[in-house]
Amino acid sequence: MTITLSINGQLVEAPDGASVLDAINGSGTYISQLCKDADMTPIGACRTCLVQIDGQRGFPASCSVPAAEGMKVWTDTPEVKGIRKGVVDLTLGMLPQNGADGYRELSVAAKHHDISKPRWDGREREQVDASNPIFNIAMDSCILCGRCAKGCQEGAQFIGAIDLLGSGQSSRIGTFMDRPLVESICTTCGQCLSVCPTGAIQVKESLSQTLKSVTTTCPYCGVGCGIKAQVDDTDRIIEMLDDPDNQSSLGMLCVKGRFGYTFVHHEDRLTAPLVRKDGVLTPVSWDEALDYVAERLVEYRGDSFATLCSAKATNEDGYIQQKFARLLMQSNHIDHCTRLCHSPSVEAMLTALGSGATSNSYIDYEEAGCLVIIGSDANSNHPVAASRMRRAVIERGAKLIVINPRRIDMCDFAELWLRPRPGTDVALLNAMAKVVLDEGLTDEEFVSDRTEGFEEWRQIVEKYDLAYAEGITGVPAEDIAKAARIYASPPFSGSCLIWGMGITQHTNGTPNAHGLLNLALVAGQMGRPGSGISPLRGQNNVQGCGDAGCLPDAYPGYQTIGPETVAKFEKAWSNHPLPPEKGLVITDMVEEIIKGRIKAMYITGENPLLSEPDLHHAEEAFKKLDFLIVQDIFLHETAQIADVVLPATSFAEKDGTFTNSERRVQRVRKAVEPIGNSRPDWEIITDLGRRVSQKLGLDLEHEFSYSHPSELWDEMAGLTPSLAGISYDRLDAEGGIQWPCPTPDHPGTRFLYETDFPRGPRAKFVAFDQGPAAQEMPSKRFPLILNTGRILYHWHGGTMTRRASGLLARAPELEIAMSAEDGERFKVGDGEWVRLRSRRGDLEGRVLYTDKMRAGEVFVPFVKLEKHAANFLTNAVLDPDSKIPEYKVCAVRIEKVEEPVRA
Amino acid sequence: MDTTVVDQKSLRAILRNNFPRDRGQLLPALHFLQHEFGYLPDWAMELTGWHLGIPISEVYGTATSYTELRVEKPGGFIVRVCTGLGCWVNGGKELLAVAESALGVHAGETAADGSVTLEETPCGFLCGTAPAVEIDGAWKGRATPESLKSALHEAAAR
Amino acid sequence: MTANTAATAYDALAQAANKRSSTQTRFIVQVGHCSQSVGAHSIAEEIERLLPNESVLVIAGCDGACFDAPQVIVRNPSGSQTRFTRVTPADIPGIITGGNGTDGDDRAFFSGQHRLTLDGCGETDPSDIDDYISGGGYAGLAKALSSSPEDVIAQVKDSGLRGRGGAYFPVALKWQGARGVDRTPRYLVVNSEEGEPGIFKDRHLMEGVPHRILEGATIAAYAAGAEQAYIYINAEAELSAARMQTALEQAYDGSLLGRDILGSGFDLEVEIRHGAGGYVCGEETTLLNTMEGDRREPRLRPPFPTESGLLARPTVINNPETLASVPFILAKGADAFAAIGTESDKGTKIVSVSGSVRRPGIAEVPMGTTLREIVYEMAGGPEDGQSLTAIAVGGPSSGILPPSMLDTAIKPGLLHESGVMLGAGGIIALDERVGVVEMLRKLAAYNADESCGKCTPCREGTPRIVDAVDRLLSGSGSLNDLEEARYLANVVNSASLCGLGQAAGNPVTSVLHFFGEELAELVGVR
Ligand SMILES: Nc1nc2c(c(=O)[nH]1)N[C@H]1C(S)=C(S)[C@@H](COP(=O)(O)OP(=O)(O)OC[C@H]3O[C@@H](n4cnc5c(=O)[nH]c(N)nc54)[C@H](O)[C@@H]3O)O[C@H]1N2
Ligand SMILES: Nc1nc2c(c(=O)[nH]1)N[C@H]1C(S)=C(S)[C@@H](COP(=O)(O)OP(=O)(O)OC[C@H]3O[C@@H](n4cnc5c(=O)[nH]c(N)nc54)[C@H](O)[C@@H]3O)O[C@H]1N2
Ligand SMILES: Cc1cc2nc3c(=O)[nH]c(=O)nc-3n(C[C@H](O)[C@H](O)[C@H](O)COP(=O)(O)O)c2cc1C
Ligand code: SF4
Ligand code: SF4
Ligand code: SF4
Ligand code: SF4
Ligand code: SF4
Ligand code: FES
Ligand code: FES
Ligand SMILES: [Mo]
Repeated sequence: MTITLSINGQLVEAPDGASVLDAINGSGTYISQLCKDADMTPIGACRTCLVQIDGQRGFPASCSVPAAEGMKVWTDTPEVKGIRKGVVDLTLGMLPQNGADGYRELSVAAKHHDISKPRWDGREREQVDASNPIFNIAMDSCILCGRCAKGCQEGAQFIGAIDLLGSGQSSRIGTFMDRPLVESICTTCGQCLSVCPTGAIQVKESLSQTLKSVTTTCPYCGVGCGIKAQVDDTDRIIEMLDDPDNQSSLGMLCVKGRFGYTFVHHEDRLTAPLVRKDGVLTPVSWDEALDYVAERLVEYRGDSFATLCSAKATNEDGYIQQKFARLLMQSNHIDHCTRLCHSPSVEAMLTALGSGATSNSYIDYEEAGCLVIIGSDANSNHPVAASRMRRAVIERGAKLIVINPRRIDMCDFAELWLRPRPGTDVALLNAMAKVVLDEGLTDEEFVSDRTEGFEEWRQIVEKYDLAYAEGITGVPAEDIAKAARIYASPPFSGSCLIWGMGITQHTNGTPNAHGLLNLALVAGQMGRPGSGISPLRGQNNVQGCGDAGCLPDAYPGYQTIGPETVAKFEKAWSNHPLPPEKGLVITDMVEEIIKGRIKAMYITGENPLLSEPDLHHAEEAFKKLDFLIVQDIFLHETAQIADVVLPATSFAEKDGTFTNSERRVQRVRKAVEPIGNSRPDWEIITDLGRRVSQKLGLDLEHEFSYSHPSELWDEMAGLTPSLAGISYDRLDAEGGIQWPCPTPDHPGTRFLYETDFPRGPRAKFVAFDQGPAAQEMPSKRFPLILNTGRILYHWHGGTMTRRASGLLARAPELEIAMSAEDGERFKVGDGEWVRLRSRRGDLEGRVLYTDKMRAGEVFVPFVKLEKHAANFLTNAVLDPDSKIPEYKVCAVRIEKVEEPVRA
Repeated sequence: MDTTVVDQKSLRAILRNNFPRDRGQLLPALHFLQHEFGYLPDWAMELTGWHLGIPISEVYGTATSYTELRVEKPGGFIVRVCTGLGCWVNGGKELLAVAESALGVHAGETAADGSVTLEETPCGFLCGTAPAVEIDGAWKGRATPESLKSALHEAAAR
Repeated sequence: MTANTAATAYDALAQAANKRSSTQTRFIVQVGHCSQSVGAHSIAEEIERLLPNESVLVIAGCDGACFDAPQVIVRNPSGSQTRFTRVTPADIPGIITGGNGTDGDDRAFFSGQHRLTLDGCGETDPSDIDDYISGGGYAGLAKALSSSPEDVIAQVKDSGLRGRGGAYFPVALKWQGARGVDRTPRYLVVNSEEGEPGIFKDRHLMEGVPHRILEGATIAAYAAGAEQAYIYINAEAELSAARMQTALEQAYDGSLLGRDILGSGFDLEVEIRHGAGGYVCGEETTLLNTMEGDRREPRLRPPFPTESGLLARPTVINNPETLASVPFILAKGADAFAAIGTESDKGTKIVSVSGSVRRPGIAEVPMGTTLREIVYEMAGGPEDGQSLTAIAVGGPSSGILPPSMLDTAIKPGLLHESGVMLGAGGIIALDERVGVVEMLRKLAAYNADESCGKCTPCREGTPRIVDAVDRLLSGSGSLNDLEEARYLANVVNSASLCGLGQAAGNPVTSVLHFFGEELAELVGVR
């Protein structure tokens, strides 16, 4: 439906629900509008959008008047223009300097109203808040439009670090108690900066002129936010803007998406292939490097070759890499970081449901009546998804339940926070399920029509009464019961279960994940809007990497290795034979290297020598390899011990697709030329593939000849039913599309399991008992539990974020978070430099007293800062089903040490 | 609410028992704090924000937007002279001068020793008994310079 | 329902209330916010201490004669009564022993009034619901509940009642508006913020006849289909809140609030809320923000509160005086109300008269009464030795009239096109002790101080008006400053977001209109 109205006598059309301002903007007529952000509801504060409307008194603000059929609007009669001019003039009068230039949107408004010199002298106001290392808030060029506060709050991010403070003449933008921004809960997401009309909030360094804007996808996390790279005439990205049209991020970004891109142009980028000569990595030409690699690799064809694919690279990169390994190297030893991440979730979901993906979408979080966030710190690690969860709580009154031994920021919004002892989630989840059973909250219809294994499961769960579970978990029985009730009968709509590494990275990882699935099944909380199960995916393309078949046991689209699948792909790939046996997972590869079975490895976009547990042990293993190729954008710890290092381009220099946590396939578009001689992963692999094929005399070069990633996509989609309907043309025209999308006219799928499951009509209850909480528990010598994970400002080992100056400045040192109680017990004061030691290694960092930690537990992110990294301490024991390491629990002790003197 | 706040723990309990987790409870809770402390201590605002699920910047933004809520500790007693038109024309002007000189502070200030805060108010809503002055919450109508001086003496002596 | 149930239930209540009419002497002490400031509460305490047998102490609100406060009325069982004014502790023994009254010169103050919302105010015991009922209280509610909501709306429409909070919006239309929005729960908010200088009539009503407001609110809620009401009271109006609270509790006890009111099936919950200061709190959307725990700033309109108000639900917001008029309309009929006032402007208005007058106070007069009648006949004009120089009507959102305009009759809306409005009925008489520019400066500074700061023209423009006036005051002004003030007044009035800014220029425009010559003289230009 559209409305027709007249603007300055000209008929224009506007969509139903548009405001008069929308209609004016749509008509191409300029009108000033300083407080209305395109993505947010109107504020009405600036009063620079006033118009005249026939039949209405005075000068209504066009941003807040709904457009109506037949309305006659005038934007520039002398009367209204005169009033607006007065307002713009008063606005300029707030600023310190004479003249009207340099204030972005305000300057444009001034110009339109023929103001070159403000009518009044400027006002004296507060100074600059420069506490944030990335941007300043210059209070004196603030016109109090309120957009920043709204963007920080309910307009977008639901963070609430800043607000309008005071009233009247003392009005100002600021934080709690007018403290410096960095002392607030500000996450440096930059939403405020992106909406500021005058440049009062601005990055510290000055920006050059934008030449082009390229819409692409964030390279960090699995939320998959839309970004728009602004590129200047020296082919550098100078600024990253949010993308209001992106369906996953809705115009939001977090600090990494907005400010973390600077690694792209960092001087440490690999610019030429390196080959180890006389023990030294030496720059060589691509021909030399690739010929050398091809020559060496043919020696390791088959079982002695393994490859790690990159969840940072594109779907196309992943597809061609597994094709390379399978077709040319005849090996299924293919894996990627999901093994260290959501393998228990995938394992459990495959068993219980038949598919390993998130069943719902971010929109379901917004529509849910209850959100359970368990073992995930979404505020830090999935910030934009977390904003959407907060929207549900704040705007729609959804009940939030947090289950985490550590107090995470999301607890501020929670109805209920359960604080289990680490590693005891099986007992907790079983007890919750028992409450559901006992209190008649079971979704009987769902259970009887759509599940199996219920009775067997029920018998196991029966013994988890509340008192028993309280004994194991330490969570008050009443809270467990309450959580179960809210989850099983949310106040409205459905319930979403959202989880992360606190569930998976345990020796109980797979039982934990089954516990969650069982709970969702018994309560019938999936398969409809506002419900569902969400293992929040970690890396930007970890979903896609799995979808593309970078797995030891499956081809693209989770087509499990077996005679049928193998035959299908043999047929597709020039009728060449493919290895029939499933391959090894990462963690097993490490052990098999030590045993001498794996001799050569090709690692792209992963850094096991920071991300594997027990790094001394891992390094020992990787050093044993005969031949190690690392393909990355930086010379990280693993690359440093490689025989050959191949320089890949980053996301900014290539085309392709990423698939995010809600199964949305989104385009990655080349914004700048490759840095140095780096090449996109797919190009390197195809080039290498042709050379290997030649060396082997296989006549498979045509299987590695593509002129554009879209051809790779088409090949993969053609072999993968769930992706078959997606094409670059559609992605360009429609934006991201959520799989399954079987046909070109299919709109994509918001949520799964509406009627049945990939494994069949019924999902399966799988019962587990609570096992030992962890393999290594505190002892007299190692009295504390070390919990490792992430912080907002760093990415994993930090290879990228240490090279994004703003991020590093926000978090330059390793912080060891602990309770003041423990600090006193172990005689280490807040801010003191300490050493943390486990049976396997140690690290040093600075103590941070926080009420987020419980006595007996410390938390360290696994980023490496200076030379310290958590994985020197972690324990390489595995969950038997998924082979994930127990990153979340090991025993450590703490001691005060002398702080090193730094330059 | 007959409990008194002694520390963070007792305030938490009071909040939990008296103010349901609902943003609409913010003003009532802030009124309670001000009643209890004479102003809004930062830690108390923080606990209130956490309890009600409101970002503390918004608690502070809200608190500072209301003229009656104080985020700074006022003097030992508060004197407010009505300077609305009704009082002004009936002698309010003189009363303000008397108060300033008797207390040794200007309107809007707190004495250096923290003993007293002097303020103007634009109307005490007892214009029928103008001119009016409020001392520690109690209004005095038909005030004269003499009656004001002795009332200030009394208040200072308390 | 019910036609009869409500009426029957009410009859029973009324009978019970009347039965109690006593054989005791009533010592009625009028204690209100203002009379307290001149010792009324201590008088009450003292009388209580000395109270003779067979008599009761009644703490009532005031009757509006602030100039006579503190007042005591002694009413004998026979019905005869004696009035004591400006009572001091020394007078009390005489009062107790039945001395002569001191009926000063207040006849004229009351004789011009038509007390309909103020009926019984100053004599009725606000903490005794029976006292209100035996005076005919809650009869209007009983009638309303025996009719359909549509019918109630129709009656109020016929009466011509407009809102008394200052904007004079037709009351029936507002109720109908909210009723027509199909989203529940609907809310009713009684706007008792009353933060406008020089206006103290809502406090007076709440202190003196709280039940009349409750009765009106209940009728309004019934008509608008609201099931929850809030009485939003200025946080500093503690006495008002206490009296409303007592009244509330009694109404609940008497089945006049809560579930199944008077057996009609209609439910209404009522709760008291408070603001936290500032004139703009009374602006209806600001008040909603306050109730939701947000900053003290107005919201954008549209949407209007009747469509999306408190918690985004349809919300009726009415002034207590408005609601206090409603029981009369229901009980006595729309015609009875419409008969008061003028052809175009129906009913009465409570005015708050203060400043340079002998008899400041609260008076309820028919619409159409002239300022001269109010200021001179009722309030007695300035004290000897002073002469009237100006009248500030309607508060700082309005303007200033010269003595030559004394024959202006009060009516809803503009009293003069230069920006003088009746507003909520504040009338402040001024004399030579305050010069015109000083007066203007006070009003302009008030608006600048009270600007909430949300929108640019008001936040930035109002202080610049003050700057211009200051230049005039300092003697260094020029004609440019007059022009500047006029220019700013126009921008601020035309561009501001809410009623505060939209009227903040009025003092300037009216002063320039009426006192332009004086000002020109001041800046040395003729
Ligand atoms: N900033 C940033 N964002 C990231 C990443 C990053 O490196 N930096 N990495 C991405 C990747 S790959 C991933 S996989 C995701 C991971 O995202 P998350 O899963 O949120 O990551 P973690 O911080 O490892 O751990 C989550 C939480 O588990 C809790 N936990 C620990 N043990 C237990 C337990 O026994 N039970 C319960 N219930 N909880 C427990 C921890 O206290 C921690 O708060 O983040 C992605 N996003
Ligand atoms: N202690 C502890 N350890 C953990 C975890 C934990 O919670 N605690 N979590 C585990 C989890 S969940 C994960 S996912 C792993 C992550 O472990 P990794 O995947 O090893 O971590 P990253 O540092 O993200 O590695 C990505 C690499 O890709 C490179 N890169 C970026 N873009 C491209 C590209 O386009 N092409 C190529 N070729 N390279 C690129 C980056 O430079 C970087 O070196 O860590 C695991 N390790
Ligand atoms: C700045 C400002 C202050 C106001 N203050 C009050 C007030 O204290 N009481 C009141 O009833 N209305 C006040 N109003 C008017 C209200 O917005 C609203 O119109 C009124 O409460 C509606 O009630 P009524 O229709 O019964 O008059 C104010 C308006 C403005 C713009
Ligand atoms: S950067 Fe983000 S969190 Fe910080 S103040 Fe701005 S919008 Fe709020
Ligand atoms: S900082 Fe910018 S966005 Fe925020 S209020 Fe000021 S001008 Fe508006
Ligand atoms: S939330 Fe994730 S995808 Fe979005 S900007 Fe941040 S890191 Fe990038
Ligand atoms: S306004 Fe009413 S309460 Fe106040 S002194 Fe006058 S009569 Fe008494
Ligand atoms: S007109 Fe004044 S009071 Fe009203 S919103 Fe604007 S700044 Fe606030
Ligand atoms: S854009 Fe409409 S008021 Fe600011
Ligand atoms: S002007 Fe002083 S009380 Fe109203
Ligand atoms: Mo991960």
